[in-house]
Amino acid sequence: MSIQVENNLKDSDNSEQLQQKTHYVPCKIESDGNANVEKYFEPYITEKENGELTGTFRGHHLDGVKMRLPDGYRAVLVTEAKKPLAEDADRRFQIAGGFKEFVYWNWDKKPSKNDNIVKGFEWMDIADAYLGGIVSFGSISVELSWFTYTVTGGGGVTWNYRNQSPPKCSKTP
Amino acid sequence: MDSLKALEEYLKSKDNAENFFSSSEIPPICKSEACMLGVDEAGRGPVLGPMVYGVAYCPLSQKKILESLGCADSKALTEDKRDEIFTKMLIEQESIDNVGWKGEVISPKYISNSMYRRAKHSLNEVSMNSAISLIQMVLDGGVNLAEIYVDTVGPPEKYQAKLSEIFPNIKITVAKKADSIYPIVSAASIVAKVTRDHALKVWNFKEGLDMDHSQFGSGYPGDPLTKKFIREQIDHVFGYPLLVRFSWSTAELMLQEKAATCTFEDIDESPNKKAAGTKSISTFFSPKDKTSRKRHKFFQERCLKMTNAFE
Repeated sequence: MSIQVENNLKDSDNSEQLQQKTHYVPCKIESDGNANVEKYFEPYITEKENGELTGTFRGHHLDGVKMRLPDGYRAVLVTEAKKPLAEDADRRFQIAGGFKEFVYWNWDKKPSKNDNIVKGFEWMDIADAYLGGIVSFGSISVELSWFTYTVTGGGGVTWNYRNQSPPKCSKTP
Repeated sequence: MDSLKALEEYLKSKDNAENFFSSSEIPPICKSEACMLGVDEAGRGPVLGPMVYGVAYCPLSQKKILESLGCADSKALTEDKRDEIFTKMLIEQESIDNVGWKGEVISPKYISNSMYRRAKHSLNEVSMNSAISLIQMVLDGGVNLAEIYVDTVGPPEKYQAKLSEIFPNIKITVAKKADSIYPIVSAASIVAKVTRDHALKVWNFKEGLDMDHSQFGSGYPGDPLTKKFIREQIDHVFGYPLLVRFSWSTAELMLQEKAATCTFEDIDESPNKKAAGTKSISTFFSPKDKTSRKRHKFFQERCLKMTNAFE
C-alpha cells in the first residue's frame, strides 16, 4: 500500500492555514469535527508571569506550556476525501492545515521534560544523527488528541521532515 | 458596600471562574472586645453556580443585635427576608458598629477542578479549607475571637477536632443545624445565602451565552429550569459552560449520554495487574503472536510507533 499526500496549500495565501492555533489536550475525545475552542476553551486560559498556563477542560484542571516543534519540523493535518474500500488499497490525503507552535496541556501536572512529547522529540535529534536523513515520526501517543478549530479533522496529525515536496512523513493510525 | 445593588456590582466586577472574597469593614469594637463568630455555607447541593462560605462575628455582649436584625434559622426565612436582613447589616449603624462579616465565593470551576484532581479533593475538604481561611483572615484582621460556632452537614466530631487543633485558644462548637440554634451562625448563613443568590443573578457567561437565572433557575438539580439547562446547553466537545459543576453526577450522567466521550489518562497505577505467575491454561494453546515483537524501551516509553511512510 502506498500513501500519497497532496499539498494544495503551497501558495503564500495559505500560510495562515499552516500556522493554526493548536492545543494538545491530555484526553481522548471521541469526536471528529469542529470544536468551539474560542468559546469554551480559550476564554478560560490564564497565563502567569513565568509563562505557565492554566486552563480547564470538562471540569479538569490543566497545566500548560507553549511549545515549538523542533527546528526543521512542522506538523500537518491531513484529510482523506475518499476512503478506499479495500484495506490495502493506495490512499491519498490532502493537507488541510498545519502548525509549528502549539500549547501542550497536562492534566493537573506541570509540564516537564519528563513528558512523553518532550522525550519523543529527542528521537528526532537521535534519528537525525543516526540516520542522517529522512525520518518518519509517528504518533506520539494514542492517548492524546489534537484539535484545531478551523480545520475539520478526518485524518491524523502528521509530522513532516523539512519542506520537501511532496513531503516525506508518516501518519498517525 | 451599602446596598444589594452594590453587592451585585461587586460580584459582577469579579472573575466568576475564580474564588474571591467579599467582606465588611472590621468594626473596631471587635478588636477590643471578645467576639463570637459563626460559619455557614450556601449552595452546597446545586449543580450550577458557586458555593459560598460565610462568617459573621460580633462581640459576645452584643448578641441582642443579631436578634433584633432578625437572624434566625435562615432556612425558615424567605429570600426577600434574607435580602432585607443583609441590607440592614449593610446600612444600620448599630449593625455596622458591631457585626462584621466575610464571604468566600468558591467558583463552580474550582469545585469541579478540585473533585477531578489526580489526588481527589472532596467537597468536604474544599469546605473545611474555606472555613479555616476565613477564620484565619478575620483573626489576621485583629478580631479578638473567643468562640466559634460552625454549621456542618458532615460528622461534627472530626471537623471540631481539626478546628481545635488549628485554633487552640478559641472555644469551638461544631454542630448540625447550628444555623437554627445560634443567631451568629444564622447571620453567617444569611451572608452566604444572599451572596450565592446574587452571584447567580449577575452570572456572566464567559462563553458568551445570552441567558440569565430566569432561564437556568436556582441551580438545584430538582428545579425544572435547571434540569432543562443541563439537558439542553451541551457543547458536544466541551460539555458545559463554567457555570456548571462538571463533577456533579447530574452533569456527568447527562454528558455521558449526550456529549462526545472523553477519556482522561487513567491514574490508577495498576489497573489490570494479574497475579504473577498464574497463566491461564488456554494461553498455552493459543497461537503465538509472532508479529508483535516488543519495541525497544526507548520507543515504548515515548509512545513512538512505526507507521506507514508517505510518498
